[in-house]
Amino acid sequence: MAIGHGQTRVHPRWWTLIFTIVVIFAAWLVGQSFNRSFRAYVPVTLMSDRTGLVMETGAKVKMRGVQVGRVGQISGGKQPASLKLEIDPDKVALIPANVGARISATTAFGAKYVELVYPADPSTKSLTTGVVLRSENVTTEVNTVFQNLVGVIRQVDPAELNGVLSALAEGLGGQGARIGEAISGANTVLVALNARSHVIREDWRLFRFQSALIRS
Amino acid sequence: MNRVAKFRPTGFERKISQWVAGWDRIGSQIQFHVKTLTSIREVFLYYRVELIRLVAQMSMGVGALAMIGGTVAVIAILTLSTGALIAAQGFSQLGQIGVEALTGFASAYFNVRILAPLTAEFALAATIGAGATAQLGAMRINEEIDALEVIGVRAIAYLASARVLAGLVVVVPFYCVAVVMTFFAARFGTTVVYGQSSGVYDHYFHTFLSRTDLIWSFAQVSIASVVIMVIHTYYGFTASGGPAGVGEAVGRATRASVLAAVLVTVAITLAVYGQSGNFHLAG
Repeated sequence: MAIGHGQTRVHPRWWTLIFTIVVIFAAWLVGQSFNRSFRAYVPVTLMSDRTGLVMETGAKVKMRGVQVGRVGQISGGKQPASLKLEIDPDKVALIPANVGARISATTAFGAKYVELVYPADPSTKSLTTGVVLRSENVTTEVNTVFQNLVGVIRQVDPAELNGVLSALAEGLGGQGARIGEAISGANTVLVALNARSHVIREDWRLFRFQSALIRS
Repeated sequence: MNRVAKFRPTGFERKISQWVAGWDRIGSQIQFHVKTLTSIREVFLYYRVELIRLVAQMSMGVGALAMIGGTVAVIAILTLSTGALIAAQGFSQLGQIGVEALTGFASAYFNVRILAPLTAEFALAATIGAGATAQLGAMRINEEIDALEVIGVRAIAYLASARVLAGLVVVVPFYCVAVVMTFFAARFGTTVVYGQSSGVYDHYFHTFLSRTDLIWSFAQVSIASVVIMVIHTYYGFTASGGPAGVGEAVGRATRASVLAAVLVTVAITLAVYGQSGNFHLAG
């Protein structure tokens, strides 16, 4: 035995057991800190009609472009969806309690994040635990845009539309100066008519009166 | 006859007893590690001169090794090559999508977080660690350790704990060399060999170089160095079977310590950095 005498009070068997427990505990600790479970935060709830696609736990919560927390938990399915926001304690004092919220995306296809909108009339109280915020809106999903676009294209044959637009473009090409003149002329006419609109209205009224008289 | 046959262990029983023996062997190893770590106090009390001698021996090498600078040279060359790889791979691969300007980011990010610590740990295990196992193993098979115990020297403190402590002392300057070398090689490769403007490289490098990450990587390497030295001293201390047994102990020790060092590094990396990159990539 390399340990020497008088030091084998604990049997090696127990040391292996202790070591195993330590390793399991360390693995658990690593897993928990990987998920940031030990970080202090202020829980705030955000209610929204829907959370939007690609809204995931761990998504950023930003205010004026600065990250102030993260999305901890998303529970949806039923209307309205609710998001648990975990706000950093050191930034919570700078956020008024009546802050607005909005779910936005970084790019058209990018992941969603929660944007806190600084209110026009900030309340003197700052955000505290358990405050419930309401989301103003969720960014339009890019697939909705495409879906609507497809609906339009189904109704209008793109080839025909192209032909019509080309013909129009050909007809209008090089006519800019004349079109401009025509618009200016029309404007002059309309200005002149506007000044006489009173008289025109009077004429119409008399015309209706006359025709009613004739009919009777 | 019948009685004897009754006590002959079956295959299952033999497996169980082997398993128990393995379990106990791990236990005695853990016991030795704990004893080594708790005896560090005695090194400060009684064996300070030995500690300084070991630090000098480990850092610059003695005898033939001193000619080429010992472990420092090994670590410097290893990390130079990883840094050069960052430049070679990073510049051309990032260049394929037109963002070769971010090679500086790759250097600041990957070097600090994983490449430099791991390379330094491997170099440490292969040079200082394996050297310690060989020294202690030779002392064990020559019965020098028994002689030390007989004359009243606390063998574990004098031999094992002092080496663990010396390893911890020398790893800090070693790691400084490692980090500087990876940074230098990546910058040299990108700006001189590939001809990127040094202003662009430095801008992205300094933007993404986090001081906290750098400090954490020092902690990473320090903890890994303790693990490496503890394992290597154990295998040296318990070597048996003549010179061939010492060679076998060195092999086993290197295998175990490299594995342990990687596990420690992965665990610390996961725990410290988590899912966040600690930077904000706008877009």
